[in-house]
Order: sequence, then structure tokens, then C-alpha cells
Amino acid sequence: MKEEYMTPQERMNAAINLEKPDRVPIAPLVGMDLPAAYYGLNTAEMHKEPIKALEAMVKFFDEFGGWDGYSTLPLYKGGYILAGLKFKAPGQELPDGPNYYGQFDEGEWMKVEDYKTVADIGWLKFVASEYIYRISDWSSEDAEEARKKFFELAVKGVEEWLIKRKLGLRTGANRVHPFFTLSLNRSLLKFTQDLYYRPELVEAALETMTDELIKRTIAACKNNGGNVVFIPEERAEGAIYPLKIFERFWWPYTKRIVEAFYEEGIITWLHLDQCWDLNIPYFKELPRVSCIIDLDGLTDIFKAKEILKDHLCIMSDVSGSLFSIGSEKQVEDYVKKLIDKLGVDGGHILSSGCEVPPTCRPENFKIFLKTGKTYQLSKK
Amino acid sequence: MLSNLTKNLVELERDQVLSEIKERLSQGEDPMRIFEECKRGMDLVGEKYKNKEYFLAELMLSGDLFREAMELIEPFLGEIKTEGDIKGKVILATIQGDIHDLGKNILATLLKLEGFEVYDLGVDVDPDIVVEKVKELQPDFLGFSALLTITFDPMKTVIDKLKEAGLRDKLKVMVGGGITTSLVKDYTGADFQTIDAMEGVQYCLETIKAKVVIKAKGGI
Repeated sequence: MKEEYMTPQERMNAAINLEKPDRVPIAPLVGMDLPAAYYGLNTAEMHKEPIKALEAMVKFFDEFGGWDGYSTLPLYKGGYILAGLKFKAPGQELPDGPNYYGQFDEGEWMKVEDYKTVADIGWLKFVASEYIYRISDWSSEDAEEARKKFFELAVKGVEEWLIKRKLGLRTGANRVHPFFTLSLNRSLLKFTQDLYYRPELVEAALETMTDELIKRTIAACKNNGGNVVFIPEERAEGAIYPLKIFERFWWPYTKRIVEAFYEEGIITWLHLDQCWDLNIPYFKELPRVSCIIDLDGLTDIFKAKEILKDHLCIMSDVSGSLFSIGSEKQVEDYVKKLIDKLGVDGGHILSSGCEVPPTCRPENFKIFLKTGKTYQLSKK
Repeated sequence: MLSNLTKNLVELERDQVLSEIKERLSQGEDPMRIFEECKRGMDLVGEKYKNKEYFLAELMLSGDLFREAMELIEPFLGEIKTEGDIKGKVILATIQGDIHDLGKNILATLLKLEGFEVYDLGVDVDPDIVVEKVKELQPDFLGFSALLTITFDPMKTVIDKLKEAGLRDKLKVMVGGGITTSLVKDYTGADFQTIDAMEGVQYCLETIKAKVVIKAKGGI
């Protein structure tokens, strides 16, 4: 068997730059829920004390022998509220039990008249000055305390992931796409009505939010040394909207974000849940090697590779259902198929389709890592 | 030739649809005729969706517009459906641990439009409550909507308990939602799996049609 000769960062950079790594880099999305389930920990407590969640994530990473990326913080209730996203946590809005994990609380929390406020003062100021109190029961002291807690968590995250473990994907920021942010805060139906019946209001808010996101994210990356920005989106794709909506309300803003980051040496990691088959060709318009296209199993990843080969790196998509109820053989076979078809010579990061769920069988996660680490190196 | 109302509904012209309905009702026009024109519009939206001219967005917008239209028409109409008009009974639920209801709500709207009687049990539903409701309502279909993997075991529990109670063969079980795959169908013991609400409706329609044929031939 051949030996590894790259560090996680070299391996990851090679894949992103469509160059040949020693083996495929591995970056499963492991948040707090899987380590909590594995160690029998209480997620209700983790949402209150996210440092404990981070500790569990780090312990899990070490116990499973580690992987190449990525450096994430736990996604906990307080963090979401600070970002302006209503959230239900176990032990608070959900029962405190082994079958309960935190979930977005989508609804019509934001009103039509709020679009203008967001367009005028920006999303962050809108959230900090008024919205945060609409989507939580916090006082201003609670909000201040939550900001302090988040800052401590971020410092600890940099120390654990980037300094001690030297992970390859140095995520400088996680930013929910402005389109997704508005959709979650208006609800899918109301937001869709806004897109069709009051488009100017939505556009004005998207303009301001996009500029704001670019500015503060570049500043954050310069401050913490991150070179990758994680941007999730699951509401703009062709499974929901026709291309005329995508072209008007999502694509120009996304393009602007990716290009601005690329000029600053920052890679955009577009985490695209749901089926993007119709939209994939658009990504060829982005600068070469400017972003990672991260799919979740609903988009035809092999067709996407055909379209985007020689242009952008693809992050793969072992699904939550395969991790949870598939056999080890099924996981192993699928990982081998991904490696064989998606980029032995670069352009592929092996990953989970969205987050590895808490119901993942430990043996399936082990075989995922083992196959990823050894399959290419064991080939003649 | 499409009526103005039907055409406007298909084109999602919300204000025109609602103002025309109000106007015609105030002039004493037969509400059943207005209802039929709206229903025709919804059928055409469904066809456009099947032909990939329309997307989930248009399905949702038209469904909501139809709901608003019905709020105007119903007070003039009384009961639209008789027992004989109902194609079948469907129980829908998002099972324990999951609070997502988007797909379930869309499916409920589409099934109602097709003439099914829908009992929506809501989100985070205890498996025992689902079993009890099946015993009480004796539906033709039981549909689960899921976005999280933690739903797999509770959905399987319901199906296992239906087997124990001798009720499993009396209905078809559907699982749907972004996290579901054919693996989930096999694991839970469901009959049908989809990530597309319209496919779910089609499945119900075809299954009911087959059931009617069997009955007509003197079968069960």
C-alpha cells in the first residue's frame, strides 16, 4: 500500500484547485448531534453550553482517527438566534429526550414591512436592534451574554480545530445565504408570495444583505485566518423554483459573493441541499476553482461532475439514510464509486450529504473513513 | 375555451381571481359554477406541474389561492361533497422527533383537491396516536412526511404495530420527504416512497382506481 504524503491542508487545497492529491480528502459534516448520540450525552445541555458540544465533537474526531476537514463550531440555539434564525431546542421548545434534536422553527416571523427596514439598515442591525427579541425570550443582557459565549466558543474552535488539529478546510465563517435567511424567516409559502407579488421589496433586502455579508465575512476571515466560507442554501433550486426566479433572486447575488471572496483568496463552500440538477450549469460562470459545490444526494452528483469537471471541486454526498440504515458493504461500495467516478486526480472532497445524522451506525461511519483513507492508496 | 377566472388562476393572478369571485357572488351567480371554474384551473396547474412547466412554487401559490377562493365561495355553497364523491381517506403525519410540515401540508392540499378526505395529525406525532387513529378512521392510506433520520424507527414502529393489530393489509403506507430513499421504504416496511408530493397524489389515485376495479369484478 502506498503512503500518504500530504498534510490535510495540502490535500484539501489540491482537491479544490483540481490538482492530484495523495488520496481523496475527507470532510464529513459532523455537528454536535452525532457525538451526543454516540456518547449518550444530553443535547438539551449542549444547546445551553455549546463549549461542551465542541468538546464532544473534538473527542469524537480523535476517537475515530480524525479526517481532513472541516473546522466547524456546534450549531446551537444561541448561535442561530444571534444570526436571526428562530430555533427549537430540546429541553426548551422540544421535549428533552433521546429522540429530539434541535431544528429550525420556520414561520412568518418576519413581516412584509420588515423588508424595507432590512434594506435600509442591514440584516445584522435589524436582528440586533429588534428582531432577536421577536424570535426569542431574551433580554438585552441575555443577548450580550450570548455574544460573549459565542466569542469564547469561536476562540476555542480555532484552537481545537485549526491550531491543535490543523484541519484542512479553514472555515473562517458560516453564513446562511440571504435568500435562505429570508425564506426561513418568512416561511416558504409567504416568501414565495413575496417573490411573485412584491419582488422589489425582496430585491432591495437582498442587495443590502449581500453587500453586508461580503464586507463582514472578508473582515472575519482576515481576522481569524480562515480561507473558506461555508454558505448553506436549500431553497433556491430547480426543485422549488423555475429558472426565472433563480436567475433573478439567487444567482446574481451568489455570483457577487463568490467573486468578491475569490478576489480576496477566499473559497466559497456552497452547501446545496435538495435537487439542483437544473441549476448546475450556471456554476460554470463562476471563476475556475473559486468554490466547492457540496451536494446532499438529491442532485445527480455524477452528472454535476460531468458538467463542472475542470472547473469546480465537488463535495460528495453519502446520504443520511445510507449512514443510518445502510449496511457497511453498501456504504463502502458507494464511497468507492464516488472516489472512482468523481476525481481520482482532484476535484473531489469525500463527504456526507448534509450533516452525518445522530442515527448513523458507528460501523458505517468507520467504514466511510477507512474506505476514504485507504481505497486509492491500496490500488496498484 | 378557458374562462377568465380559470385562466387567471392558472396564471396565479391573485388579485384578479379574488375580485372576480367577489363580484360574481355579489351578482348572485351560481357558486357551484364559480367553484368548477376554479377547480378546472387547479387541474391545469397540476398538468403544467406534471409537464415540468410549473414548479413546486406554482403548486404552492395556486393551492393557497384556491384556499382563499374557497373561503369566499363556501358560505354560498354549503356542502360541496357527498359521501359518494370522496375518493378515499388519507391520514398524514410527521412522526415523533420531527417538526417539519412543509411536504405534508402540500400533499394534504393536493389530495383534498383530488377528492380525498385528509386527516392531518400534525407534527411530532407519537406512534401510538397514529395507530389509534388508523383503528378509528380506517383510512385507505397512511402517509408520513420526514426530513430527519430519527423518524425512521418511529415510522417502522407504527407499521409493525399495524401488522400486530391485523390492520396492515387494509391500507397502503407512504413515506416521503427529502431524507427518504428506497432504503427507507424497505426498512420501515412502507408500500411507496417519494420526494415529490404530486407523485404521492398519483400513487393514491392509481391505487384507488385499482381497488374500484377489483371491487367491480367482485373481489374484496
